[in-house]
Order: sequence, then C-alpha cells, then structure tokens
Amino acid sequence: MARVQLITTGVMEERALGKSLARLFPEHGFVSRPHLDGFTSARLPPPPLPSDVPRNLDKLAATLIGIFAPGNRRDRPRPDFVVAVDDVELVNADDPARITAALRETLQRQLATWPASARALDRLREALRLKVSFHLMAPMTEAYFFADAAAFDRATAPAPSHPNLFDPATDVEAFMVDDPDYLDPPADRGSRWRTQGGRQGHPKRYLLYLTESSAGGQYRESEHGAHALADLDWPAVVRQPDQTRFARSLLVDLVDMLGLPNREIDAERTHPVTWPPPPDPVLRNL
Amino acid sequence: MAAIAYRAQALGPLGKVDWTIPAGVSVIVGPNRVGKSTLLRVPKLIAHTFNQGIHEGFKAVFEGVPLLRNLRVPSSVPMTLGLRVNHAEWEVELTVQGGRLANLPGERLLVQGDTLLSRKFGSTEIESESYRFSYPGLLPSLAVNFAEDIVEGIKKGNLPGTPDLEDPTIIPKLRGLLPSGAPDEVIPAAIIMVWMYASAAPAISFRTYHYEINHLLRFGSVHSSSLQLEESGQNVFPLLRNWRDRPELEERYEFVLTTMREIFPHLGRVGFEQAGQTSTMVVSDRRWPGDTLIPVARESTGFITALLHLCALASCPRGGLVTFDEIETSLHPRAIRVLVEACRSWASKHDLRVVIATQSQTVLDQFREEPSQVFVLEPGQEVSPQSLTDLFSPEYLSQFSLGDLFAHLEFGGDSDDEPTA
Repeated sequence: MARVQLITTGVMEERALGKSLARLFPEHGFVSRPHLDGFTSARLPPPPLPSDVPRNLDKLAATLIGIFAPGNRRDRPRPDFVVAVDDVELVNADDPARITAALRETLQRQLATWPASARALDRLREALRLKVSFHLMAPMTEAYFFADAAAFDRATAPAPSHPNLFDPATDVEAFMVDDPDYLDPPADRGSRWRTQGGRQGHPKRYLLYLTESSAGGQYRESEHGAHALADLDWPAVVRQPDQTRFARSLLVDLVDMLGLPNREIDAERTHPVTWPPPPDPVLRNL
Repeated sequence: MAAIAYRAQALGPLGKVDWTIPAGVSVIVGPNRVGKSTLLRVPKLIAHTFNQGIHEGFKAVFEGVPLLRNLRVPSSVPMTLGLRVNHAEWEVELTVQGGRLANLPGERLLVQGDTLLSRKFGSTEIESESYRFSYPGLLPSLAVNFAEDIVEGIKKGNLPGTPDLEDPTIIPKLRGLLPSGAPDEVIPAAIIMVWMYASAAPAISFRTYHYEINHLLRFGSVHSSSLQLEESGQNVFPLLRNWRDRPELEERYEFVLTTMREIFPHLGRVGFEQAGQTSTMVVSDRRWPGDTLIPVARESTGFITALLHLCALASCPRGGLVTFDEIETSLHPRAIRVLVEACRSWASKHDLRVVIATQSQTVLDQFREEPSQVFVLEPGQEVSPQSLTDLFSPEYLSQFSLGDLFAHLEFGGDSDDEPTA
C-alpha cells in the first residue's frame, strides 16, 4: 500500500479529494493535511512584492520541498507520493501554463538556496522528480460535479431551485452556461453569485445560483461540495475523450504512481500542461 | 542559573514528563486536551509541595487529586512527581486511596544517580545506605524550616539565592532544625533539599482566562500592599501604585508603563484613584484634546489584558519562573510581538524563565531565530515535551514560518493523519 499525501488549497478538497481518489485506488491510502491558501486566484506570474512577506506560491513550493527535505522530523513516516492540487481559476484560464511555469520557477529558486549539502540536495531533487506532482482543477473542482449526475445531485441536494442549463455535451473544464437568469441580473453586493462580472465560466457561482433558495440551503463547499466530491465518479468525469483533460492528467499520473485503478479510465488525451512530464522536470509532471 | 527539570508521570492528561525549562522565554504548543495547562501547573505544584506539603500542593493547584490520574497510562505505572536541579533529583510516588493522596508516599532523593535518602510507601522511616531515622514528613520538609528566610525573600519579591554552604553557621543551624532522631549524616541531604527548594520555589503562573477583567474594570481593586500580582489580576491597580512608590521596585512600574506605551503608542498619562478601600486607574490618550483622564473601565479588553500580563511578568522574583497560559488572548498581532519581546528583555535582565503556552501562529513566529525554545506536546510522545529542534533540524525550520508549520500540523497537532479509508 502506498501512502499519498494530498496538498490542497480549499476546505472541500482537504475533506473529500482523498476519499474520492481512494474509491479508485482502494489499496492505497490518501492523507490530507490542513489546506494551504491557493495561489491561482490572481493572474500569474505574481508581481514582485515590496516586502519579504512570503506569497502563497512561495509557501506551496516550500511545503512541497519540505516534505522530503533533510531535517524534516523523522518520527513520522514520509509519504510515498505527494499530489498538490489547485484550481486554474478564471483569471488564468486563458493560459494555464502560466500557473505551472510560476510554480516551477519558484521551486527552482527555492531549491537553489535550500540549506543542504550538494549530495542531500541531489537526493531531494530526485525525490521531487519521482514522488511529487502538481495538478490543476479546471476551472475549479465544482466543474466536475456537472460531469457526474450523482455528484451534481449531492451538490444541489435535495433539489436545485432553478433548472440547470449547463449543456452536458460540452467540456466542464471550459465551463460555459447559456442561462440569462444567471448571467443577466444586476450585481448585488449582498449576493454570493450576483457579482459584477465573473459569472460566466464560474461553476461554483452557478451552483450558488442554482441553490439560492434550495430547501437544503445554498451551496457550501465544506458541506455540499465535500459531500459531492467524496463520491465523485472520476471515470464518468473523464469519459469524453476530448474533454476534462486536466482531470485525466491527474488520474493518469496516479496510475503511473500506484498502478491500475479498480475501474477502467480513459487514459488518452491528457492536458499537456500537467501530463506527460516535460523533458527536464522539477516535479514528476512539472 | 541552575538547570531545572520538572518531572511527572500519569498526571492529568500527561504521560511521562521530563521538562527542562531553558533560561529566557520559551513556548509550549500542542493540541487541545494534550495537557499544556496541566504541564504549566507542575512547577507551581512542586513549589507548593516543597513549601506546604503534598496534600496542600494538590489542593491549591489542582483542587485535590480525585480523577487526576491519566487513565490511558497502565495502572501498573505509578503517578509520580519530581524535580531535578543540576545533579540532584527528588521523586515522589503518588498513591491515591479513597479519593485522597495516601500519607507516607514512596520518595527518593538522588545525587548523580545515587540514592541518598528514600522512603518506602507507608513507612515512617527515612533510609539511606548507612542509617535510618523516623520522620513522617516528606523529604523536602526536612529543609523547609531552614528555608524560611528564602520564603520571606520570595514574598518580598526577591530571591536571595542559594544558601552559602561555606557559611560556618549554617550547618549548626540546620542541625537544630532537623528531627531529633536524624543523624548528622543527613545534613548534606537536607542542604541539597534547601538548594532545590531555593531553585524551584519562585514559580508563579497566570492563565489569561482566569483574569477577572470584568470585575476588575467594574469594581476596581481592593486596597492592598501586595507586591505580586494575584492570579485573578484583582490587585493590579494598588500593585502598580505600590511599585511606583517604592524606589527598589520602581523599575517594574517603569517597565510596565514603557511597554504599554510601546504596545499602545497613544497612551498618555496614567494615574490612580482611590475611593474608600477601592483603587482604580485613569488614563489619557495623546489623541484626545486637552489632558482628559478617563477611568480604565472605558479601556479595551486588550489594553487591560496586556497590562495584567506585564504586571505578572514584573511580579516574578529574580531567578524565578513565570508561566502564561494563552498569552495571545484579546491581543493584536503587533501587541503580541511587543509583549513577547518585552518578556525576552525583562527575562534577560532578571534571570527569569518565562514559559508561554500558546495556540498562536503569531507567538510562534517570534521564535524563528530560536526554535530550540519551542517545546511540543503531542499525544503518544514517549517523553514530553520535545524541543522543536529535536524533531526538525534548525536548517529545515529556517525555511518556514513556524506558525505555518504549526497550522498545517507539521508539529503540535494530534497524532498523524490516518489515511482515507
């Protein structure tokens, strides 16, 4: 049994991503620590900061390095693999490679000054190349609930208060809805979905709209989202060959780490930003 | 400064404790219910036990012994309490019978690992390799009469230091205070106990959640000549005035006020008002027009909390130990940083040990330059607490904010995560 540590950037993923992946790989253990803050909600690469306050990107990179770095506590088992996950978010959806480039550059910069002997650094670099991955949810994890009817039902339980007009034939990773009742109402600062812009392409806001007067309460990531994600049917999410390529990258990487899952998944057509690995990787896939 | 280690076993939620408190400011971190507050009370328990006896010690610190034993520790493992000062060790085995501590507990005094004196549980006799004598009290009480002057010194806010063993009057004096049946050979052991007592006695502890702030602000302090802050903080106003008016303690007053002005830069003048037996404080703010003084009752909770912490710190006699539980409560991160730095400065000047139990990332981040001063209590530790640098290398820690590592459960959390089933 391999032990896979998940590094997440949201409470929903912290609570439920491991459970959903364990359904596919029941022989292996998935462990989540308290989530970090995401670094993709602003356009990347980040502008230089006037102070030396570490950015969320720096913290994620240091966390990934730190797991296998010399000097980490020895009384706890190191994971066999580490998978970090963040959302693409709308601001970076036009060029997701900016996200991985920013992380790669930060990892390289931190490794260049990491306090360790040359030999220990070589071992650390090798551990990162063999054991650590970074994947993207596009544009965010909630998108995948629209590719799995049962997950959508759990996210909007007991029933949505508006009809879901997302076209299931389209790719959830390029989430678009043609729903004037969602897109057209004027902005309202008291509403969680009536934002000034940023509605189109935003599956979480669409879920908020769909459930705004639901008997089960408006969508909350920590409750409805975690419930939906925990039992997400990943094979269903990646069933369309030309769609959900970021999700497929994640699953193919996991197969490469852990072996075949207990259900067949379509392993073709991953997203080139996150799989296969580049010629000179810093992480398994970066 | 002598190296002091507090020891305990199966006490409250604690397993096995061997806690050497370093000079200066250190912190204790750990999850809820792991025993941080209990750990912080061990020094006070030892001090009370030396001074007043073990029953009184447990009554004063833990309100007795019922339900105090750690039920997760096998019953074959005794509940113990102990102290090590340099090479001298004292340990007492606590037996609870009928909801109270049994009299005549087993105890030992060791020096450099060799047993100097001991008592078997239930015996009225103290034994050594070469003699025995009848004595129904605890070993520390052999010395406590002799240490009266030390106690008085502590009450006055000063620790006179360890006894001068070269003083030719000491041994005859101690001989006269020993039980009549005790042989002369017991004198060196009694002197060691005096020395241990002198090292461990000046221990005071404060818990932010025990400060009675509402009562204090509403009714003020009852007039008092006290020179040390009460655990409730109730005597803070007369205490400050007493310090101000006594030249030998004026430094404490100045330290408190100077640090308060560093935390609250607009704090202006401070005065005291008395009505009958009640004292209170008035303050001005430099931003206000004129020189208006208003009652401290109008001040913020953070203001009065910081004032109490600083008075608690300044109350500790030279060479002593002061512990704070949840120092961060009600305080802005900047105020916390100033307070921790003030603790460092005062501790260095007065040879103090200051221990802060905390759940605050801001507090932890003040220890980036000295991670060996961070002690971690976690469930399942063989011996607690462990220094952070026993868990991680200093080079590793230099790459992170300690607060971030703590928040992400890299240390000081519950036991390692179980994989998803």
